[in-house]
Amino acid sequence: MKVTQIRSFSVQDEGGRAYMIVRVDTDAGHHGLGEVGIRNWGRAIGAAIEHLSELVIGADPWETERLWQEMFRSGFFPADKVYTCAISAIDIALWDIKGKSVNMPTYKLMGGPVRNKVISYPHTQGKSTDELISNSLAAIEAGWKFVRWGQPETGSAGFEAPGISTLEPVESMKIAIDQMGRMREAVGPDIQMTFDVHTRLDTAHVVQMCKEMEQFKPFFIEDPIRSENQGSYRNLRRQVNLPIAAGEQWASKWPFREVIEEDLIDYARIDLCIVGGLTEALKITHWAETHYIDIVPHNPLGPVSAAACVALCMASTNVGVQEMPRRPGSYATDLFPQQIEWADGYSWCPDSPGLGVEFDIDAAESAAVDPQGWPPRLRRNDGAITNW
Amino acid sequence: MKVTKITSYSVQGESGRGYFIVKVDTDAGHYGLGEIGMRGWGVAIGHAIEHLSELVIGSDPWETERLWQEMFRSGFFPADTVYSCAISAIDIALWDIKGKSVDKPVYKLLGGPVREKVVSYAHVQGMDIPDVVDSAKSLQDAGWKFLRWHQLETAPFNDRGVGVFDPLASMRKTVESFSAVRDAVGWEMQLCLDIHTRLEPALSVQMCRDLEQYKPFFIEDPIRSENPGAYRNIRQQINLPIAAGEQWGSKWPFRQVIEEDLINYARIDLCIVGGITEALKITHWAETHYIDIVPHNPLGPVSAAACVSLCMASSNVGAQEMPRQPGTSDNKLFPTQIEWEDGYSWCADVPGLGVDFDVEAAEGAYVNPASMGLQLRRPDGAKTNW
Repeated sequence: MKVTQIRSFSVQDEGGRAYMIVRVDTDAGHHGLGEVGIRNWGRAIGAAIEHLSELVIGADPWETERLWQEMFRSGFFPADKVYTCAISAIDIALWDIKGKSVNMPTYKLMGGPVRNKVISYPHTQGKSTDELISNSLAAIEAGWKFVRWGQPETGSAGFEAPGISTLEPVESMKIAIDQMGRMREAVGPDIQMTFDVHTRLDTAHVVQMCKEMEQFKPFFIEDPIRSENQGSYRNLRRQVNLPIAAGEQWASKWPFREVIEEDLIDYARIDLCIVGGLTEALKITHWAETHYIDIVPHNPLGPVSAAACVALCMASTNVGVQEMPRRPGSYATDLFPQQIEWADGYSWCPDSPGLGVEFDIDAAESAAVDPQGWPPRLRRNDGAITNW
Repeated sequence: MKVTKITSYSVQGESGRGYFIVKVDTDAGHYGLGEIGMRGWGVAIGHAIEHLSELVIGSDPWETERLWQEMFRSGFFPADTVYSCAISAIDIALWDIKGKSVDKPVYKLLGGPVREKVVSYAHVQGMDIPDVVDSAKSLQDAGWKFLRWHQLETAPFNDRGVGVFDPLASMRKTVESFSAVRDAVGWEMQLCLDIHTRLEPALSVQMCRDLEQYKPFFIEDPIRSENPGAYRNIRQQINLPIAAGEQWGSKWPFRQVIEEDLINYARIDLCIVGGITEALKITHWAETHYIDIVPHNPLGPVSAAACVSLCMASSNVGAQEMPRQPGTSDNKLFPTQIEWEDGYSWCADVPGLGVDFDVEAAEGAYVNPASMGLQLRRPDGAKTNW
């Protein structure tokens, strides 16, 4: 069996959500699907996928370790996020093909299932605290056992424009602490709450905010600081008394090294569609096991990412919870007629060959969208840039 | 597909060497082979295999990660080397079955081949320098590119297997042997010295200074293995590449020496560490630190096949230990063995590990596995490591 073709599809669903999907075809009739983790850089990543195709077309899709090494290292400079997103999508598609070619779910190729299903958390964000609470209560009503929201934006400073809004740190901290108190009251003690700081605060601020949040017992706080300097987690670890989750922006095992080896985090937020696919995610997951660190795969993306994340969780002993923004199978079903399973707050891959997800390339034709864009942008009250 | 039976075989080949082989059968007709790394503890390990069988029989052999977790953790106390040897043999056999069940070599299930063959080192024989030199030259003539011998004994073993080991005399003799072998085989040949935990740190450091001029590829086990933190001191004082790890029974003892970059070569023993499943995890984290693996393989053809499968699927490989040329001994017990040519070993492109074991031949070859092996004493009668 040889890889014959690699194609990228940038598409938008009925709700305006966009996905960059990669399909790898073989001469044996099997095809595999992957997804790109930084869709807004999609044109550059699309070019990287074409570039890497030169190394992959003609190869046996079973040779995932060899191909990962070829793709990561053949440019001499170690792959960065543009190239690792491309590697990720191709690698995930190869694992999908491997499963299909021997009629086994991908989680079984990885030695699983070690669990039947994985507890999952939805996104329950709201524009106001009231909306956050009502969204969260609706999610709980629907069966979810976890809720998750992020560091809130603050009121107008006068310069907002399309795509630009305001986040003034001290003000946002106050709102967030108030939200967490009201949320705990609303959801009760048995629902787990995770809070995503999303790299929006400076270290001193986040430490102060976390002190106030301790009483509400969040399951973890995520990305309390920016991701460029892993060593800053040393300071944070001494000062924050809550479980810490981090890692969604890291594009290989190397940025995870320090925080795992020095036990600086509790949950590794590996993004399979950025980090280098299942091949690289497995290596990080397995070393995290040595440190009793659980994975919480980052999955803000579409049904292919969701399937790959859940496949990894079903084959890994050290799992905290799986991010699952919305219920699989409840959205984008024209583009993805087959998605993974969900019931009662748990997700799982079916016992079917490969990842358990399908993509309709005919439907994709009319759903094409430019893959290049920007996420929302934020400013402080003084006009300075701050992370979204 | 389900596991139906797990059988242990302690056998002795025509060569006189003993092997402890484990065969795992399934209801699909496929079977797999594993080997245990500490044959002298074979009676206890045999009981551990029977004990672990309760967790494995009836399972799908593809579920190697699940079964590793079940086997390592179900006793509450983390598996020790007796239990990890048992886990290793079962896990390796499961990987063999997985490959056979989908008609693929195991190295392909592991994502390889990343290389076609792996450079391998033979064991040089002899206790005295002329014998060592002769053995090295004949191995060179046979095509080997790498050679290995160990910290030389200073007096023959008696008929009870006890020998006298004088550390300072052994250091002088070993350095002399290095000089003589280097003279005899030239500078293209890679030479590895296994100190085999026989020296104290201070003595090891002194001897390694004298060895630097002969450019060994690595020195192995310069100190005992119980305290991996002692490699911090060794690392500061020894100016030669260091190989260690053959006695460790899981990824946890490897943690510190990998994370602190205290070694250059990880001597993972697949038949002790917890099988291919655990060896992969260590190999992959060693990759993060640019540490190469040199799988420990003093055992038989099943261990050799598992080691070479791992090397063919791993980007970070230094060399592969291969005491003798595969296929040249004990062929009755092991009618199919892996390939070797010109100093390189490889697994054939056949389903599974590429090794077979004749259970009928095994019936007549049974041997009691329990043995303490050879023993060493210092001249004052004190215990010292073999």
